[in-house]
Amino acid sequence: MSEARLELSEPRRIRLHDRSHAFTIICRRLEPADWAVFFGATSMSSEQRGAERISISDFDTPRAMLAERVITSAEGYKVEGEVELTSLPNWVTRLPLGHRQMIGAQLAGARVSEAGDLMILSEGECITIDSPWSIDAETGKMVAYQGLQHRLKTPSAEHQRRYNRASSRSIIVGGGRNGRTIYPGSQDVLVELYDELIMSVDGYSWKGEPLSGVQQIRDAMDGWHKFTVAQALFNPSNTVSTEGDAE
Amino acid sequence: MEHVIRVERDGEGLQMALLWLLEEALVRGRIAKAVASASDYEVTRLEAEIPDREISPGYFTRAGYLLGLSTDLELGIPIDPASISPSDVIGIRAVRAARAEFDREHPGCPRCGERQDNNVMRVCWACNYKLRGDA
Repeated sequence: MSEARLELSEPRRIRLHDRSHAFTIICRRLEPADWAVFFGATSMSSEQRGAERISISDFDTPRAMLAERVITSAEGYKVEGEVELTSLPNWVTRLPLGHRQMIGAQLAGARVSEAGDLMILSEGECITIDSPWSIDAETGKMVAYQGLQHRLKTPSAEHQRRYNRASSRSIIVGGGRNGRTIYPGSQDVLVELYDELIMSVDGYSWKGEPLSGVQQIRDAMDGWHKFTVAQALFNPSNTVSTEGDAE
Repeated sequence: MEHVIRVERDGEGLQMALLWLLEEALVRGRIAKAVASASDYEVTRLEAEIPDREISPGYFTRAGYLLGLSTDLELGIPIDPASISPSDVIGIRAVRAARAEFDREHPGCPRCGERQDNNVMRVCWACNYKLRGDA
């Protein structure tokens, strides 16, 4: 795991590069309400087209929406008339769409660690994630934290049922046979389950001090990190095989 | 305005999907048993009997959840009644209705227990037991 801890209380400064230019975007700390909007906007759908069933997902729109909610300032952009970027009406939406989408992708960029060691605990579960976060003040480069550990209670059958109930929700628009099926997702329930099951974390800080205590973790932990960890707990991606390099 | 259906509240659609799953399981069970001894042609013919899923996949996802919940309840696994949602109740009723319909359509042989293709079979397809008096 990286030496430095991921500081949750600070705004995030994200560096983008586009056509030989560098831009720095500052985002305020994301609150549960921001994630609720983001999760509410991300949905998967499928519809029958002839003999084929087509799956449709749109993550770019929610990513841009999320960025627009939390960007507080931006550096490196030239503005017509040499005026302050932030003086333009709805200035955040004047940022290139691709930049807003990329900011959203960074904000929701944490993933389950692929390289980390699998650790079995005598009690509970350990999920390790990696996350891009903010630029380093000294080097100016984006810092990606690796090996952020979350220890959770082992879910009960009731917890699993709640997840199964939520993840099996869907809405059909236009008729049960040929309509579009929309899966609203279960992110809200996964965040609730994280809050109920979390025991401790490693690799995070709040105002310079290691994040500790269940209530502090519930209050301070990033919503996307909660979702990523809970998703790995309840619906692990298929990384298991019978072949590989391990002896 | 477009017609909107909340799958978890559509008992009729869920019952249809559940019946589909039960029918599918019946054919897949037969295929699994036949694979060792049947010809490729026979296996292909059996696979063709798997009914196409003609309703939204959302119904089947929910049906899978409901079958699990119903099994837990039947096994007597303690479940807090307060955790059973109104849509769960709609779903559990759909499971019960689908199973009853499946039992009517595919009665088990009194001798070997194998499900029959339909409820007018005269002899059991598996053990030749006489199911009806005039067989």
